[in-house]
Amino acid sequence: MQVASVTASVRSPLRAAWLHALMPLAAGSLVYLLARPPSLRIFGWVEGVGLSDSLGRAREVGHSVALGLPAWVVFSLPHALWVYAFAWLISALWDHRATRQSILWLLVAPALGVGWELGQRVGIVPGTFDWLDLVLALGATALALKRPLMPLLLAKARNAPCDR
Amino acid sequence: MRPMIRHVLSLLTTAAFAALALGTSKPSPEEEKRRADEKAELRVLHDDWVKKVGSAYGKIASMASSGFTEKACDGPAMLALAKEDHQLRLPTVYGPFLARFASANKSDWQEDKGPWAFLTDSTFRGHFAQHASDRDAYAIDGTARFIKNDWQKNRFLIVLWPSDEKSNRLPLLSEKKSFESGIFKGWLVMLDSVGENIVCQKPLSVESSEKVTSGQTFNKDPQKAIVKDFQDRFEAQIEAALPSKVKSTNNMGSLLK
Repeated sequence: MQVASVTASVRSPLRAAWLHALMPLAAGSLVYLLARPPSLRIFGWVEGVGLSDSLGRAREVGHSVALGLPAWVVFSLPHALWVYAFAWLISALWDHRATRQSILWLLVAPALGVGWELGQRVGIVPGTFDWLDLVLALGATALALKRPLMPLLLAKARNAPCDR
Repeated sequence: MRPMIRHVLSLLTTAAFAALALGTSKPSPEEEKRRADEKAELRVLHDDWVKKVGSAYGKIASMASSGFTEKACDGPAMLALAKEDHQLRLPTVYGPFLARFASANKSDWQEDKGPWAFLTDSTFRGHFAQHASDRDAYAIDGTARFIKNDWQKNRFLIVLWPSDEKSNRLPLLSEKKSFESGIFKGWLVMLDSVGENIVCQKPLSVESSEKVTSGQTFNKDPQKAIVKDFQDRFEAQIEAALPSKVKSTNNMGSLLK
């Protein structure tokens, strides 16, 4: 293998991880930390590690921007971004292929991401259920798992008996 | 990658995501109540302290208009009042910056962009650049924690009061390799933020060095070099005016110089 192609093959997964995992994760985290009301557990954790002052200053700087964000960006998008990053990471760990070994892990992502929202609906998970959260989380998982799951679904559709 | 490693990494990723999901969930009602109580308590402390500093500022302003008389600071007594054994590290504040603490006008709470902004400790300045009603609730909590654990605990603020704001000036580069000296004439006033009082005051006079020769810095940016010299001399004058075991937390931006 030539040096250029080795470099490209290393750089490409890193670039993909940056784009599909780190960026959505960072964007979601920023919205949670800078724009959400500080009643979430995570703010207690930030205080616990002594970073509340820095976070307070950062929130101060982003205060006017946060106030201007639409409600769905503040309350629904961050969870969807995290779900996307999580599902994509799991998929990448299994080379974006649904195999006998990977399929369970691939299903953990939607189970946790979407299950979290449904858990709020039935009251076993703290938080407020919202249809938009659920739709966005579903969309995020579908988008992230498109590569491994689409061939499976297509194969199943091809083998399915046709109704006349 | 071996399947076992993939399984372990998948497990770790799942655990990390579950932790994030838990972190962004609402706390239990008991924990929520505890935090709401703590928040309310902090807000009362914040407002009370701001009021006290405002009241002490009023006393300095009225003392300034009738004329200061020198009164030496008693270091050990200050340490005793602050219940500190070893050393007191206090923020410096430019006198006029404190006017906002006594003002009912929201627009008086603004970022200090004036030439003497460096005299106010940057942390202190940052926390009081906006009126509380314009600030993020979490940021006010942070300020209140600072007040509780630092400024109220250590009681005193080092106030740098100008005798005549108009005659004080920063050094200014004139023609080729010469400059007009910076001048600050005023008072170092020790404000007791708990007792809403002034405990001592000392005259303060700062001028630039006769000659500034800071090598590379001077050649690169002479204006910056002469301001740095003035700030260094200011810092030295403050240190000299403070009683033993009392230090300033303001390094006049020396970390950035």
